Amino acid sequence: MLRHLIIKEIQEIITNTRSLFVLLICILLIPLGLYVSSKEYEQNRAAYKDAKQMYEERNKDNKGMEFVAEGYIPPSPLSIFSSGLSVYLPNKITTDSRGVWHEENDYGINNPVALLFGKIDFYFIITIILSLLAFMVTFNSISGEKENGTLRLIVANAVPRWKIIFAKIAGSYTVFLISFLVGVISGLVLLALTTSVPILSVSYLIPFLVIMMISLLFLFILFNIGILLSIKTRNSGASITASLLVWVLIAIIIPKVSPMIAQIIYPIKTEEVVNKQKAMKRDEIRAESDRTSGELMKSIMSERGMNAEKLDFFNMGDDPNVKAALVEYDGMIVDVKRKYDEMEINAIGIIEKDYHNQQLVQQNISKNISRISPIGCYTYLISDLTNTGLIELSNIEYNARQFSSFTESEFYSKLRKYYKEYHIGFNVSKGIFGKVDWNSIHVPTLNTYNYPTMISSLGANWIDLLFICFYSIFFFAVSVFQFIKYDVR
Amino acid sequence: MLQAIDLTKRYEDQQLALDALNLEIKEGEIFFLLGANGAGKTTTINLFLNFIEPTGGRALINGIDVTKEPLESKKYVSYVSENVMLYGNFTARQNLDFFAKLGGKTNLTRDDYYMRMREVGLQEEAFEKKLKTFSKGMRQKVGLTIAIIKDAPNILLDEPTAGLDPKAAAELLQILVNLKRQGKSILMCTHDIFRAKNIADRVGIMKEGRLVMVRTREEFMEDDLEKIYMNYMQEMVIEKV
Repeated sequence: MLRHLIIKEIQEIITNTRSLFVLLICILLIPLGLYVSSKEYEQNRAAYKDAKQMYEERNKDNKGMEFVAEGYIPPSPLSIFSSGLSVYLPNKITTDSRGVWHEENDYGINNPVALLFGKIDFYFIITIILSLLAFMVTFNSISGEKENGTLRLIVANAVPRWKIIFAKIAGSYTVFLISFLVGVISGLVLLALTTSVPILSVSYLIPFLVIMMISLLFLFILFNIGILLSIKTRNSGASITASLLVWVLIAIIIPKVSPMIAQIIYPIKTEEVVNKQKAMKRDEIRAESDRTSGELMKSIMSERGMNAEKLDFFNMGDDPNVKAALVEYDGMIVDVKRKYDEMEINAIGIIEKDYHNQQLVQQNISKNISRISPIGCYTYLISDLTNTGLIELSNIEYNARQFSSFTESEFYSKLRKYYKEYHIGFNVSKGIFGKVDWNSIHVPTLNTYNYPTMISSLGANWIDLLFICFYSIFFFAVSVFQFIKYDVR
Repeated sequence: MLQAIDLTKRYEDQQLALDALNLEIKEGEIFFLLGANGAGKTTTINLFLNFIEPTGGRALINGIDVTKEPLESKKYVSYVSENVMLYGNFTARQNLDFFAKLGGKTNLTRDDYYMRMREVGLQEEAFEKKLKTFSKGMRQKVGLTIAIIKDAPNILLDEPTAGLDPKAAAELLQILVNLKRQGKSILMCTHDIFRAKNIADRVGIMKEGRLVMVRTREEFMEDDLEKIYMNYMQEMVIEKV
């Protein structure tokens, strides 16, 4: 009985032009989206390699304390599924001798029009196009049968109602699933033939399959919502209106309004204000550092019977006393400068941490509100699985710290050791280079950038995964329950 | 056999749609239920098919209470509705095949379907045509074929001749006569008093949820059924005024 119902459902859907439209959209858009994203990935990959190579060549002899190390971030192959925050994510980490690191984005915008309209990537196709098509396929699945009178004829037979609704969901979802999988397989074939994206390699195959599973589960939720709306409305006209309204709500309004609500509930300072705070703190510490340096100079000079305030530093000639005082000053000022640098880093770090915590609170409020919509949960999961989501922001910080400490231990600390040993001061161009083994110091490069593993991405988004599973079961159960009580007249 | 025992339905808005209906339709009997719109005819059918739950009384199909054993009772009843749309993108045969399987007839062949369609007067060239190209009369015939194929001992028809041309209506009624001869119990709700006179064994008139009159064929052939029916209708209009 169930088999007959499912077969009839599949037959009914495939004889409908809507299913042909779904198939066409899947076959055209999914491969197109994957292809365009892959080409962009390849461009970014090539740009990454060039930038890294140029940096290494340009700086192979640049070994001074003023040197700023650069670490280039390779693009993730999984980003072809969801561009997420990639346009805004840094592609370069810089770090200096004080251990201060920055994130930079040199990608630039190739085609601003593409940004203006938004990219058609796999994520967009699922959340906007296929979600809408899921509603278009299901909107009259029950209300249409009621209008045609076929539902009364079916229910007039000895068929349990759960079988009827189960067949409805299974049949329509199967047809949609086949169209979707045909689109994905076509896309993969196209990628294999025309690009070098290693998406089917061992390391990316499992994340790819997980992304597919989550996408199928997400579409299943939308199918059940569509069928539920069809049950709750009296005719096809009302069904399509309700479906469109619900789609606008879950695909556009909830995800876009949630950050605004979070801003109202938990307002935080703008980045500009925080930067001003940081600049003021920096100026304060630097002024203190200058004052301390001056006092140090005064005390060294007075110890040698000189008055620093009356000295003319530009016309000192070859006074050995002054020279000895300056060498002593150079030796001692390194530690003083270092102390104030550390103070500055700590003070700035506190301001940044405080701001970061506030941002996290606001972000979490925003995330929790947007989770009302399955699209919210799907977005967080997919963007993080494809290394273009919110986790990547903190992951870049983690990698930047790693790179900074690597640079410090392998580059700056070695240089600092030589400086201290030979008292050569900061002006290395006048130093005693002949005594330093420069070959033991290599220009630091970011050779290994660690993207979060699939397990850690899933772990960080366990609540979204839970919500996706919950929504799947919830809307399926509600649809079945509502249909059992449904008035077929 | 179809039985209604004190069958009552009061809707949520407290409207009494059916008031203690008592009715028994025996094997090989055609019972016509006449009445104005809202008299309770379709409610009766809906209760027999368990589309709605009664607020009182019982509806029995072959002695099975439709509320207590809805699935079991539906094995013994076929249904033809007023406006059979069916699946427009399916052919007549595909529609028959689907509903036959739902009715438990899983072994029927293409020839069996063709034979049944010939019996109801469908033209050969229509068998494999999509139903969306069919006229209303042709669709009704397919709907009736679905009921016939199920081969249930009881048939419920809700205004099956509404909107049909006289020829198509006459053909449909002839099929009902044939089914009666096979021993089927047939309950047909209609406004069509002239068809009732032609083939009904008994006629009941419903008014505001109550079965106000039942006449056997002999009785209504002696009396003027049209006059009786019109009197009831007029009474109702006067009461309303």
